[in-house]
Amino acid sequence: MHAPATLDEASALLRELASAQRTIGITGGDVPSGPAAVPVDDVVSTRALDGIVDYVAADQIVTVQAGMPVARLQAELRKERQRLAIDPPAPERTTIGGAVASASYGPLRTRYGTARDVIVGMTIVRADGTLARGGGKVVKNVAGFDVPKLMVGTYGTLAMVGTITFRLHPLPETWTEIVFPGCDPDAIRTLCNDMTQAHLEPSRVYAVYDGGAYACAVRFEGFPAGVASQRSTLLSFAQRESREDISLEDEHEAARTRGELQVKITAPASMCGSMHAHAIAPLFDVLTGAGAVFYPAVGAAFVSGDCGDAARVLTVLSQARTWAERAGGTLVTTQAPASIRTAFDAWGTPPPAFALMKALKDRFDPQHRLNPGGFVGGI
Amino acid sequence: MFADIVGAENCITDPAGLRVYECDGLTGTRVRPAAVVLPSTTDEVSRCILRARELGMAIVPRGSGTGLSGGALPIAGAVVIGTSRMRAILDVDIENQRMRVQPGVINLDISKHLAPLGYYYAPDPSSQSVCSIGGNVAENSGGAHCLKYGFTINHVVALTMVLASGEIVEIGSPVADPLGYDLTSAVIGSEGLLGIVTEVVVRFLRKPQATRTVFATFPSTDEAGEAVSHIISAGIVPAAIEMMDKLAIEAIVAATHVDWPLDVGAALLMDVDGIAAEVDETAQDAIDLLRAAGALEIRSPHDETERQLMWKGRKGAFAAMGRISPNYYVQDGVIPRSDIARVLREIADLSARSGFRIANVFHAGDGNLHPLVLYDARAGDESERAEHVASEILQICMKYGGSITGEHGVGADKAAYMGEMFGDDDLETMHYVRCAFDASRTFNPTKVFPAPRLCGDRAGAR
Repeated sequence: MHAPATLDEASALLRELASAQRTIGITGGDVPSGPAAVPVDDVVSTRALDGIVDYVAADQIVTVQAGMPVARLQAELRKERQRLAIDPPAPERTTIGGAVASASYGPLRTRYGTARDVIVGMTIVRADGTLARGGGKVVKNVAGFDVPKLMVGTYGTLAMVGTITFRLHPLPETWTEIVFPGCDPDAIRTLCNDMTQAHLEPSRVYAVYDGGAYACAVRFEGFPAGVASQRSTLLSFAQRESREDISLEDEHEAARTRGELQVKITAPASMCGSMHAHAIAPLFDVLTGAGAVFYPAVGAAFVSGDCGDAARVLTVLSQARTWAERAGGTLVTTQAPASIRTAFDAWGTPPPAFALMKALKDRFDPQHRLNPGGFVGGI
Repeated sequence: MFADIVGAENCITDPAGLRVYECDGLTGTRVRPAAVVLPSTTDEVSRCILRARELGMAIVPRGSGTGLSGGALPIAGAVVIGTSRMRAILDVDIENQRMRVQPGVINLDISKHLAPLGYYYAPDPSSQSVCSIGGNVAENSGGAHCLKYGFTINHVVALTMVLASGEIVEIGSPVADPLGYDLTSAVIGSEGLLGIVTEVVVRFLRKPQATRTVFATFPSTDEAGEAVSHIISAGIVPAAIEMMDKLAIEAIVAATHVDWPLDVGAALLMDVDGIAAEVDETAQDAIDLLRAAGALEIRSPHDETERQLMWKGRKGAFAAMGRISPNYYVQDGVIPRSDIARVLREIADLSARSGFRIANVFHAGDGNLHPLVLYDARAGDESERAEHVASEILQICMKYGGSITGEHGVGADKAAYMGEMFGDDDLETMHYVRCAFDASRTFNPTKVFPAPRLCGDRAGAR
């Protein structure tokens, strides 16, 4: 494993690996992961590229190296009462580069979007070792093509992410989280629609499934008056049991990070009921030690667990994927044991613009040495 | 040439008809195209592209033609494909907050369509009553309220586009996390170099519970800049916070009859929106901070009409320059917000040194400057010298680590500066994107990139 400590070292390393025609997997830790982790000649870790390059709190802009764990960055930003408005699971071990390369997100997406919505610049190390910069260190910038945003979710198949510049948000002064236990999918949908109708602005809405019902958590953040007003509005129309003395954080984190099989399903937010019936519940039932969470405002669910009877799991996965793709969404196995991986494509049906994606791959990595076969459609 | 595809009435080749299309919002440069075609369907766009390629013509895509960087400036011998007849709203999905429209739909018409239901489309360029959503996609348009809500790229989730091959492709998805590379991010802001977008799916938002507008005047831009810094560091995220200097205020007052005082050095116009209770609290906090920074006068509009008038004043600022100068050059640059005061002083020095008056109207919250260099085109070589002064402003922006364009785009106007802001390797990387979409370089071939680059045909060989 290689662990360059500077961008120049990374550049020299990738140049050398290019001339030796070696295939490369990029990781923030020790082993490359990702939906379709494939064997490679060399592993390049960003673990030694783990510092803040530049942080100007007054501009709410930070530039960090890809290998910095998300939690460590957030701790630094907290000192200035700021944060990076993405909350991928396992922040202690997820690196910033990993979160960007996998487009990973948590429930804060409800309000703030994904990494692509907060990235303003990036330096990449291309397959040929060349360092290239895109964007800048200002929030507003339309000079040239947005290569930095294009890198989000590419799983190390186009280039290695070196440093990333983000726009930051102020840390909310206060927050409150209300949990509604015993919800069915329709109740969650109604709750979300009613919040929209009432012009409420929750920062996170997520629901944890226990095999019988969902507990739905709604968080409001901001200044005290706004948080208090939203809380009372919500409680006034949500005519059901609510709790403010419990947290679903641990169950949420477990469902996102535990289990040998981890599945992400997306569908239109309005199809919450059928998503439950056709994907979340069947997968939960077939897995051992299963966990499931659902982000109703996003239209995304995550189910995880151990496989036990792989043949049955495969059947359910295929049926759930068929449903999701018909609904206009996707089903991706973001992590899977070999028994599943060899029989079930991690990604699913390549999208209509797949030829363009292949063309991009051919331009950025003409010899197909970066995480070959690790992406959609065998890219 | 194209009449059999779009009908003779939508194919313009006569000199008088073509004159209208000789330029976009960058009116100082004019080029007559060989033809202008106005298709009304995706299929017609595709056939026009194929025909243009058969004839060996370059293609210049065009929306409403309000762009300020010459993105829709014709190229000699090229065909301009305009989307102004593609104005249909195709589908509105209220529950999922998505709307599919044709590219010629006017930005403001999206919000107007949604207003009765209590929703709106967030990006609001000053030209929003005339600019098209297709043009917004090409330029990644922002507007005053993008400080809180983001740009076109944050609000467009899927596109239908026609490539140089005539092929029609669907990019992105109305549903979260479409598979594969985020091509939507590549296309938005690509300034018509990658293809022609024929359908756009936007994400729209619920109207905020409440909006409070505050207008404040200051002795100079120093205090106004300081007030902005204090508001932002207090953790307040205004929906918009706009600064105008003395000269800009003069022009706006002359043009729009807002009753703003003329004996001040700067003014701020700010919107705070969101939850009513919070808006009241933060607006009051902001007012305290404005006062502490040295505000001379602070006003809030009494009603929506007065509020609209204030914003009309701000949004009409560029055009208002016509009241105080025969001609003006609109610059668009970005600097880190904390350097505003320093940069404004440098611009003032530049004005004194060059003898040109420079008015400043800008998005103070995100450091996006719009200095307006005032000149008289009839007076000798003033046009060229004014342009030179405007280019010096970009040098200042770059010196502070900013950008040569925050929202107007590179187009034809700023291609030369791309090589100063970016290195050769950076530009080559952007060029990879272009080549993946349009290796023939049929679309807008002379724009954005500072020097002609070939795509080569060996890429992808393995």
